[in-house]
Amino acid sequence: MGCALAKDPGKEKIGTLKAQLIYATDEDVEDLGESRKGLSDAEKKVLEESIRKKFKTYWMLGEDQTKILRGYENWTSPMRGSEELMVSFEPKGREGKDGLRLDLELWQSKRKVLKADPVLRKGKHLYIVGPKWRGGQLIIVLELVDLLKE
Amino acid sequence: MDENRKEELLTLWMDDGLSSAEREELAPYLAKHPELEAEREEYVRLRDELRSVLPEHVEPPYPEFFNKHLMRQIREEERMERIPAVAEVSGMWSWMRYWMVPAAAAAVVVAFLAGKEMGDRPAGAVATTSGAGYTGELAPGVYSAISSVDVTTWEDPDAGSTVIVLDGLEDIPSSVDLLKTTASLEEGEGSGKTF
Repeated sequence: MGCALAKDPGKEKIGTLKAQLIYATDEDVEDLGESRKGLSDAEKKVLEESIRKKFKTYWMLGEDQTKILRGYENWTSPMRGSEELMVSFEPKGREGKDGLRLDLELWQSKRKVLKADPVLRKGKHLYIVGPKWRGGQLIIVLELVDLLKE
Repeated sequence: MDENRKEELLTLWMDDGLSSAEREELAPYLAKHPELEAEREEYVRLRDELRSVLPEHVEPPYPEFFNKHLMRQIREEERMERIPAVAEVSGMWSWMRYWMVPAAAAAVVVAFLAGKEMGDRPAGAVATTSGAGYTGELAPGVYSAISSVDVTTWEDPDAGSTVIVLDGLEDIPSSVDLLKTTASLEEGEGSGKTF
């Protein structure tokens, strides 16, 4: 006894993941409130080119930013306070200097609906075109905000 | 008393499984190590907690989700148990782990049996990748656990993005008010911490 506790290397932060939830719709939508903003023209252009589909309006419903821990499974919900859509992820290893492969799962209503192992790169987006809601399309956007050096 | 015999008797002692002869055999060792009684009490507390968390005959409402979180908690418990074992103790915890591993394994088995939807890839689920510009940022292991959901993926090198499209998901009911949730952006440990 008396020795300091060993530090768990699995708890070490190796990066940050941002998750956003976008609501895309062709319906006429009233203002969704001050906390919900529309996308800029530039954001809209990138999104439409990426998903190869256009909608009349896009709303950012929520964002979450989560630490990526070296040896642990992490959870993020772009809609904080809601378990309706959740993402679990666990790092599987680096891919080059700026890439991180994740074991990633999407959960809808507490049911796993997708399993993937994408490589995320800083500044690039992973779009998951998910379920529909109130006549519109929900799109989850994942981005590797930073990846610490090894 | 040799090491193997000591571990055997200690394990039985933890589970109230000693015969009177065995209890007499172990008594001198316990007298020399009174701190073991506190360890035993902690073990009993943990065992009772596990039993209260894992009802044997009631199926959880979301088996797959339940199992996922339970296994995560077990892994974290095991990590927490291992850390002081490395840093502080070489003797006592070395036999404690013989008990802890089966206990954790038993919990996993119970959780596994509770779930009807365990298994990552159901029969018939096929990974699908298509579209121009697919360059392999998504390995072939992209699929939905729901057989009625089609998964299509592609990459857009110009936009620097990867896209996964899930067709056939159930709609989120209109009655669910996603606008009532918090839309803040603060770095945290992850929403899963709230479970």
